[in-house]
Amino acid sequence: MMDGTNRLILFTLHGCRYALRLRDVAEVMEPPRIYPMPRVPRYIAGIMNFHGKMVSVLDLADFLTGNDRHPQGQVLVLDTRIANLALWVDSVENISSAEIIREESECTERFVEKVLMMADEEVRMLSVEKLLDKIEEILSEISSR
Amino acid sequence: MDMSKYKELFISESREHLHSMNELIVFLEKEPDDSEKIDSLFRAAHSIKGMAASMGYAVIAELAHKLEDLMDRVRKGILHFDADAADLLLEGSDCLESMILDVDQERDGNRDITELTGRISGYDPSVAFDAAPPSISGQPEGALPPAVKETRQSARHKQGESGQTVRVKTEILDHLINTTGELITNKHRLLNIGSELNSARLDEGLAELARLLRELYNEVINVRMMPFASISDRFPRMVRDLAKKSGKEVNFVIEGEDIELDRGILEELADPLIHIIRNSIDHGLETGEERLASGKPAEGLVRLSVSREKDRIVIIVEDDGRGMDPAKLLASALEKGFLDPEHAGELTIRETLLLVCIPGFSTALEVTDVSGRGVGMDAVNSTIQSLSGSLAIESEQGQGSRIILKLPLTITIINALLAKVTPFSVAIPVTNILQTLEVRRSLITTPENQEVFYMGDEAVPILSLNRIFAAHTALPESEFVSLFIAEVKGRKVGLAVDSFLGQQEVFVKPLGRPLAKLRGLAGGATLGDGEIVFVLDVANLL
Repeated sequence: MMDGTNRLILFTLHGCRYALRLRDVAEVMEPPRIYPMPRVPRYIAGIMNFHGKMVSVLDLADFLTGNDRHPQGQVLVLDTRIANLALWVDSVENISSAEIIREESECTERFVEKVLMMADEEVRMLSVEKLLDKIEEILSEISSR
Repeated sequence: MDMSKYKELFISESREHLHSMNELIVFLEKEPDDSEKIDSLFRAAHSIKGMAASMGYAVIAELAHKLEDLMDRVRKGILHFDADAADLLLEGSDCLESMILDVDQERDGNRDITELTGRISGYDPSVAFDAAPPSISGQPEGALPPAVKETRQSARHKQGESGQTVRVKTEILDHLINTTGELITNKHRLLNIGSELNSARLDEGLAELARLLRELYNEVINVRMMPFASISDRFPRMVRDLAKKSGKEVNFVIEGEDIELDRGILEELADPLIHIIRNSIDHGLETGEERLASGKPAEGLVRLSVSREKDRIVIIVEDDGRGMDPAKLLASALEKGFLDPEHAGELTIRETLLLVCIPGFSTALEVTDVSGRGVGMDAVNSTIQSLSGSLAIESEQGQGSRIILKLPLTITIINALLAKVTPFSVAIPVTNILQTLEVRRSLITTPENQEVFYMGDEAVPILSLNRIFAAHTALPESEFVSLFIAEVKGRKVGLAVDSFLGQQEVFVKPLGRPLAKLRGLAGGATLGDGEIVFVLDVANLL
């Protein structure tokens, strides 16, 4: 079972609910001004200035499902100790404590650490590490061409 | 008393003493009668002993004490400082270093030193001088520490004539440069706003702010500067060990150790330099017999010299060894498929010598455990280029080789030329630009599917940054093409952009994870209007 102090931040993407550990997220913000980047796949929307740091913005809908992102949406900036990356999602719902998780199960979907049942609804918990590893792999591949 | 807060200081000071011990031992091996150096070596061991004892590291203190005793015997003329003594002292110094590393890594710093201390105490060389009456203990304790302090200051802080120095954590130095970089970005922001407001008073204030910032920037850069010696003082010891291992006689000379560089660059430079020096000894220098046979002195020369040339640092590693054979390099490159036979004849000597920087390239006939098989000249080259520096090789067969590194003084806040490569804005470090040009389109020809133009007799290929960035597929259709000339992999290349926007100092920030994996980008920078531009790593663009 998940540690009780481990709070989650819930967000949606094309009607599905996802979660990240709150401690991995530095800030939730409205989409900032994003500058385009050379040599990156389409789902890296560009780069933003986050309190003086260069942070790239990943269009999570495009990356995970190949669908267009929500025109407004919100941006979840990851803790910059983990990565200089922000996730563009449809909307951020709320912060939940782990107590309301009824059960959790393993999941074979890529980038999903596990599926949690919260209020009779499935919530996919994203694995930040797997996400980052994959993007790094893709960027390395682009660079070696 | 809680000593843990002094631990960091103990570690850093002990390491400094060990560095100077290694230097002194290697020096004394060549000049065994230099009494000043003998005293300094004695004092270095004594200082480590004193510090270790006061911190409660008994084993470190004991070993340092034995080394101090050995030096005391040398000092009193009981022992002659010979190669065996040097070996023993270096072994002791290595062991001290390992134990200090233990302390640093929260291990207890106790190793079994009985056998080593036994050999040190019992050391009895065949050549002994007329013994002066042996003394039982060393110098009186109180007489030593000031001398040690003086030594360190004169060796490490020659620039600070007043002799007042403090230790500062390196993170603080990094914060200082970061804050200064942000201030400079914000200055540009205010200048942008100022230009819209048309206020003489504001402009005056901004001009003063710009002046003060320039002063601050210079001071911060100065604070971050460290003498080249901070990395090179370990080299003589390394050369000594390599020379012994390869059975060659090496005279290693370092010049310009006082020249200062940004510590960020220095940290990156140590490994490439170690590699180049290893190559010089292992592949460059001949054996004593070979040298004598070709009329050279048996002892080979490896010279590492550092000098400042305007806003660049020039580091040269040269040897008087066998030199490189361009024909052999060409043949090897062709054989391994690194080079197209049609283009082999077009390479200049300089370009041919740079073939050694191609990953996987080597002409070494056999792998040695000294430098491996030409491993890493490509790594050396890419490190130098990622620091916005350049690497060149000169070599004459039978006479020796010179590896020339040119580096900027600092890499965090740089002068850059801004350019538009629609839809992107890029910053090109000015140190990477040989020239900027507007070339009339009609002067660009396309032999063999490659756009080129002529600079004098030289055909310079043109590559479009648009195409490299996959933004557009062709150069913009204007009468003139804006391009800058840079050296990429030893070759002049014209890189075309949409337009140049002007020159500006920019604060380069890392792209971090995951974007750091992208090749060809050195970082990002924010302009005065908040726009983010990408700083090109020109050498690694292609």
